Amino acid sequence: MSGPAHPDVAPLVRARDLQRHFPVGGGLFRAPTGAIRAVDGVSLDIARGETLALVGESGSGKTTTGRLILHLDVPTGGTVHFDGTDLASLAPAPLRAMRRRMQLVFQDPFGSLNPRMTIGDTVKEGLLIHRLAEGAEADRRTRALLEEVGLRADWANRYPHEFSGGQRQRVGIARALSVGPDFVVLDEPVSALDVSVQAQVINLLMDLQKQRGLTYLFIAHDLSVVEHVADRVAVMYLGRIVELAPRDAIFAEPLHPYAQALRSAVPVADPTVRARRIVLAGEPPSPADPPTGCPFHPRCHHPARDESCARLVPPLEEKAPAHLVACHKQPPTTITWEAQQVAGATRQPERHLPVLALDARTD
Amino acid sequence: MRPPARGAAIALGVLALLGVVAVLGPVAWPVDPDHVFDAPMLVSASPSVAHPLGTDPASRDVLARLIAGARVSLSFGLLAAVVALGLGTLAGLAAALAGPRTDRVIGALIDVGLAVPRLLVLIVLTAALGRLPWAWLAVTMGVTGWFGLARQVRSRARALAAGDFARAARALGAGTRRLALRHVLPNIAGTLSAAAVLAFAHAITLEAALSFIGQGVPIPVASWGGLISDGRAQLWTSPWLALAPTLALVTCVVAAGALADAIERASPWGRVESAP
Amino acid sequence: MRGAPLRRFLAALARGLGVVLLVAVASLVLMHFAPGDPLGTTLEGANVPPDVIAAWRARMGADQPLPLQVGRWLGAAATGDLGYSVSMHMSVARAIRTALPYTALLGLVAIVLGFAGGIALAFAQARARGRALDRWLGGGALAVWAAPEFVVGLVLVELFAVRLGWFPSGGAMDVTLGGDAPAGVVFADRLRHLVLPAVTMALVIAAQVGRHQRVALVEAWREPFIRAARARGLRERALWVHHAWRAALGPTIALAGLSLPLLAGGAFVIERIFNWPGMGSLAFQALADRDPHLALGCVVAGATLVVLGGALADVAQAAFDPRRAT
Ligand SMILES: Nc1ncnc2c1ncn2[C@@H]1O[C@H](COP(=O)(O)OP(=O)(O)OP(=O)(O)O)[C@@H](O)[C@H]1O
Ligand SMILES: [Mg+2]
Repeated sequence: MSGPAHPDVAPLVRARDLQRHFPVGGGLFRAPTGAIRAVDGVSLDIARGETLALVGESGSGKTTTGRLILHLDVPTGGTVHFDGTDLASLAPAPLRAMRRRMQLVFQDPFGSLNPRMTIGDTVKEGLLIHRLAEGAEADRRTRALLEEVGLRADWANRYPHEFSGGQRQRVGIARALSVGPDFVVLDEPVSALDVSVQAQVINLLMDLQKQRGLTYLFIAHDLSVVEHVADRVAVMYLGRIVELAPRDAIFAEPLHPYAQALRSAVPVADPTVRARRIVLAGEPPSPADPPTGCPFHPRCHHPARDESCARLVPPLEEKAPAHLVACHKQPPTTITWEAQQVAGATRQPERHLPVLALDARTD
Repeated sequence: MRPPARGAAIALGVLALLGVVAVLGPVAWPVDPDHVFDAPMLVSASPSVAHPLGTDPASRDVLARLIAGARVSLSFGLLAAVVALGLGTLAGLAAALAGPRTDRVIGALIDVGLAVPRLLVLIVLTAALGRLPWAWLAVTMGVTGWFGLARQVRSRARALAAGDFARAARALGAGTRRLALRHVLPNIAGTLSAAAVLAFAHAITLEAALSFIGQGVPIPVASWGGLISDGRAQLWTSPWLALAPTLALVTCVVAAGALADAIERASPWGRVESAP
Repeated sequence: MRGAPLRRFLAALARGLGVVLLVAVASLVLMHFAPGDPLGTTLEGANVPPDVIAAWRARMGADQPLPLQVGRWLGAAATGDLGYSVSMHMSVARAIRTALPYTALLGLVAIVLGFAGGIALAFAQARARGRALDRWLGGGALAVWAAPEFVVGLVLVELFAVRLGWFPSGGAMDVTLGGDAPAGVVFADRLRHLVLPAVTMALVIAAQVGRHQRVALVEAWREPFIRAARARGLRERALWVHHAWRAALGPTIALAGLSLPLLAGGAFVIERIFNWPGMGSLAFQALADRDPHLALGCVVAGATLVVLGGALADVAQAAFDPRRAT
């Protein structure tokens, strides 16, 4: 279970044991032969006003998690509470009304805008759906929204193909903001953009968060993007959260071997030192056929890795205050040494902190 | 102009010309297509100044009948295409957007509709319902001809609905209707117009086949198909009887086919099946 | 699922069985509500006493409520009994068994010829793409595609049968040929009768196939793997022969599956023109003589053929497409 960042205040978003299994194989007359476990037991809380980053490599289930939290995809297991309301309990009409409060920004600036609608109409659509404004008032608010995201108001009558990737992404942000949401899922909002544009869009997102008091779930595929935006970071691997900690803890002392690998890939600012890069062996396994036990064990570099890693599913447990890690080889752990030995363990758990070993630069 | 645009322009021009002939033809050539000129003498006469395309075995003016046939055949194709387009779009959108149960039902309907030879269905229907006036025959043609179109609309709409901008609309709270009208339809307009043009062509050709079997637009109304069938007995003795309406029909259908091709090539979404 | 073509075929077939069932039920319902009494019309002219008509109606189950009729027909059909044809004076199953081989022969020959012709046409066009030859061939194909089948057939009959007398104008065999004629003569006679209807149908198919295949070929030409092969310096001719056609054949086979109903409709007209004693002529007779069980049998048999062909096309397409993997 993930502890909320501010234990005394109820979180805005509370996901418990979310699962999304896509059936594979099968057909009209045959039962499915298996399932892709795109999301496999994700629990997290997001406090009001915070930015929780969700980081993991391609295919780890980040997008699916985002959709499940917004109930744009229906989970095969688990629950999502938004501001105390169980989204699964809502009938279609109240759910549509609830959509005003939670929005989504997409990764792909090209596919996410309807090519047959002007950007003004795209931004205005939410206002009309929820009857927040009509006629001239809706136009006025559309123009204001365009300006708020750094576009010119008189571009409202233009079509998406006339804009660059960064500009389109701003349109997508304006569309999300149009209905005045509390919570926005940002699904790799800058991955498709040029590096020079990335910083501008990130800054825009941070400004908007401050001005509007937004809560973000910020999805990214590496840690470097989230370093300056996240309050907390959740690291995802094969449909599960393997580490969840405050941003500084993840960057200073990542404990899960996978999080350590991600951390080691972040460029170091200090030119006199160089982090030892941890290069993972092999490809990530398919979520259709995940490894037994700890999903990361076939690629793991922890010195205490042993038989038990293939047999035990390590729980996400607290290693330090508010620092949750799913690895029973990083002490402390609630899985006793006896239990590990029953599962075939031969090596005692030990602290393994390879990223902290920074070499002085010699070249 | 790029080649598809030029092809489309030519094809559109030909179709427009045929339309003008149908509308204004009776003014320019004010001869009653049903008037019998001189039964014993002027039967199956060769083209002349008085009758530029000759006369038929019943001593009627072939040019006047051809113009009348244009009115019937073009309206016939138009009506059938509109019915097929309406039904196919509605069914395809409903299947793609209204949930899995609707999809299964409509999917089965489409499979059945595509598995049965359309001409056979039409013949059975006309046999069962008796000879239909041409407008009703055209409606029947549309009712039996929307399955392929519905399948195309379904697969395209499904792909669009799974895409990001449709997802964004749903995240905004858009309902099925808004999704269909604002986000799917405008993006499949190319596919739809190409399919409708093909449906128009198919209807005209199928009516001709029905006429050949004796189940087409009932006489005395003259359709191109009916004129071809009437003239086929004299194919060598009086070739103009069948030749003129055949040329008219083939020109019209070729233009429609070329127009559909050009629309497909110009639209970014790949090709349209020209099977029904 | 490339590894299991048989399974794929069986699944498609099972789906098709459902389709055929629905077709049968829909036809029975339609027949029930159609105005007039088909049976009465058939026997009226023959001056049959009313009690005999009533007996016939009872025997054919026409006097029973609709659901019962449907159930009875389906039950009998499951055992291969498709009812009795009043106009042919034989069981519908037997009438279909007699006609089916003719349609199968005509259809197979025409499909093979048509596909060969269409693919050759497309290759010629694709290799000449953008040049005048491409446009001329395309224009010709478009014209044949646009002309109704019966026009194509009539032109061929007039030309090669009536004018030139090279081929018979109709029928499937020379009935004056004695049963003791040498096998070679009989075979040559059958072949001569087959030529015109088969060529008519093949022309129609070739025009359709050619149109699609050309687009598919030109699309395949732009595929990355072909571009890679071009970069490796393979000769253009070798490329077309070894690579492009493989990529393009899949869509064409799919088209074949899709256009089977269209072909069946065309066959109906073509058999009619050439007096070919196949399913199309049988269906026509059923309608002309208002023979309800025969009509129903023809519709169901036609749907079965279409479904069967569709399932085969589905499997063939999967086998030919290097990229398709489901
Ligand atoms: N609709 C679907 N049907 C079947 N499988 C799916 C579907 N959507 C996602 N998946 C699978 O679920 C897994 C997780 O996908 P998801 O898109 O959530 O990953 P991601 O972490 O967002 O990856 P990326 O960085 O590429 O966006 C992948 O293996 C994907 O193939
Ligand atoms: Mg993603």
